[in-house]
Amino acid sequence: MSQETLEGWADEDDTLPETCLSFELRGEWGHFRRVEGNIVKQTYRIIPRTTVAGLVAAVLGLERDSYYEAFGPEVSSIAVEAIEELRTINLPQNTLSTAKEHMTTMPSRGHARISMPDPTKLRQQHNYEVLVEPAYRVDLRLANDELRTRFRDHLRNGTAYYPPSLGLSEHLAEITYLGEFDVTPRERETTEVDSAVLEAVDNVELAPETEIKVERSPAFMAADEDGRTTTAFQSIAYATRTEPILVQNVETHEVDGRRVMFS
Amino acid sequence: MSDNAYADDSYEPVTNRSEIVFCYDAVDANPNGNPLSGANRPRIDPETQQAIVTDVRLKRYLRDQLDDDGHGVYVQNVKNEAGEQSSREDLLESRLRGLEPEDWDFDDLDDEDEAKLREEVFGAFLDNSADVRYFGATMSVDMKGSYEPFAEHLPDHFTGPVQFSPAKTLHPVTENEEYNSLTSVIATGEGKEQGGFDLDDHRIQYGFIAFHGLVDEHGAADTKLSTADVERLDTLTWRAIKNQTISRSKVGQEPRLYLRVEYKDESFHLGGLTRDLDIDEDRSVPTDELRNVREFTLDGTELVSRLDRHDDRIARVRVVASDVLDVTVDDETYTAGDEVGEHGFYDVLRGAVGDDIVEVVNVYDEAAATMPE
Repeated sequence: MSQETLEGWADEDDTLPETCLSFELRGEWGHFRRVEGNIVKQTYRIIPRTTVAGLVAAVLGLERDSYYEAFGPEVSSIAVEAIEELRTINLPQNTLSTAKEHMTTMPSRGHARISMPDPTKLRQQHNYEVLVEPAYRVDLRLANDELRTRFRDHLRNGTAYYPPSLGLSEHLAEITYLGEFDVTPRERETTEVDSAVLEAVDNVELAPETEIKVERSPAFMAADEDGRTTTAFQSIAYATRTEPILVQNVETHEVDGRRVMFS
Repeated sequence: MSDNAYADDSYEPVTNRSEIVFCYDAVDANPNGNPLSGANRPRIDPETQQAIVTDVRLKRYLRDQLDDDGHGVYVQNVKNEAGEQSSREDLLESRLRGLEPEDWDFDDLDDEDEAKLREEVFGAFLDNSADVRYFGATMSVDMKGSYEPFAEHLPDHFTGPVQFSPAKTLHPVTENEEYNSLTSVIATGEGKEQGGFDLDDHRIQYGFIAFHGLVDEHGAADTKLSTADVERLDTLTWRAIKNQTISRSKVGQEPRLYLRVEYKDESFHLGGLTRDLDIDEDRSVPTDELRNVREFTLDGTELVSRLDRHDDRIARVRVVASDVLDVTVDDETYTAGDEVGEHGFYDVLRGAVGDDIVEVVNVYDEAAATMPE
């Protein structure tokens, strides 16, 4: 079995199935680098939708930058629920700088050149904010039949073409299949939501006991000449201690007796 | 990338995925300082009090051991001579200079041609950079003019097929207080007469550290990681902790348990094996009194039962345990045997996954065979 591309797989008529594949995702560490981070490499608390897409693509063995269409807004939907308390610590690292002035270019002139960080230079210190033992439940709907079937097979067999990780390749992850569940749409209403709350920050009802945080993270990507571009972000509200959040007037879905919001 | 990503007849590609459990301990040492704290204090999780060791630290030990063994290493220690380094850059440079766009029919490059091209440009570099084969490297490829079509057929980075997660101790640790304000009688710099003072030196009293690693058989071909490279890990990790922990803050560290589980089925690994290890609190002294391995007992019950449950998917288990490590499995404590190469834990493993599946690593005999020719 070798890596595959998605060419010719996009099917305009694909509609989302009425079931989702649910799995648990956990690891000792996680780092989902925030785009606005600078000196301190901060992390999102909730695994971004784009990272879930990348993780599923890795399990399937899809080529880099080849899968964004299959995870587009019309043909995929994803709900994420943090199932363990979200906690971070700082893990500073000394790394080789990849800034242009610290790269060695070989040969120094000519039209075929390669640049690599100069390993004899002093290391740069970066402060990585990392998640400690992050754990999520992911509910995933994919319109593409072939991808969905292959992903379900991987989940059932406990296999992954490329080993899954949580943001950085050294943050090895474990995936546990929870099953395939019906996705039942619910009318707009005020209800407790188990998953992260998407694009409804203003509708969240605050309670004194529940700490709620909000982050804005990448949701969709598209391939371009240089690799990829984020095409949309979404606002995510979550309770730091993973309890359900009361949200007014929202559209939700029921999955496995839980209320979730898909994007 | 195809399975034969590089055209090199002597290259034996990795076909099986491996999961690695690697434990070592630290006595009165700073197993991994935090460079952003005042005195490079040990990294400790403020909530659980477990000490943390980054993958970067472990990889440094492994790179230094590879270097000592005479393997080519690309990412060298700043302290080392940079002479060796330039030869690897020279290799890349001469390959790039030798590239002729006219020699390649870019509209009609099949997998075989691509493998040839990659071998031409990066083959020798990878052959001479053991660390890049294991852990990858960052680079950027810049092709201009008539060279532009090359870019599409050459990798723009090397992802390491061998990954280790940052590790934690299996138990809370206690920081040493005795060395808090060390004063040095040696001048702190050239031209200075006075010794340094307030050179804080923080250590932990005892830590049993467990690393989790993975060898990705599908990423292996991207960096020419060979079967021999993977087998080298069985002796390299052990010797690296023995030999590369000689600086002041790193002494007192010893390898205790190494386990490489090689899986039969493609794309399969159990995952999180290190998490199945625990400290056996009933047979260890209280964690705040732990001072050395003789006061510590490892609980391997979960690990063994998990391997047992999935024994049909395991091709082999390469294992080595320190002769002073005690391991409990199902309430029974196992210790080293009378002869070198014997440990009760090996027998338990044999009972769980099969006699012929378990291979005990003879670190020093085997190491000789993994040295560069």
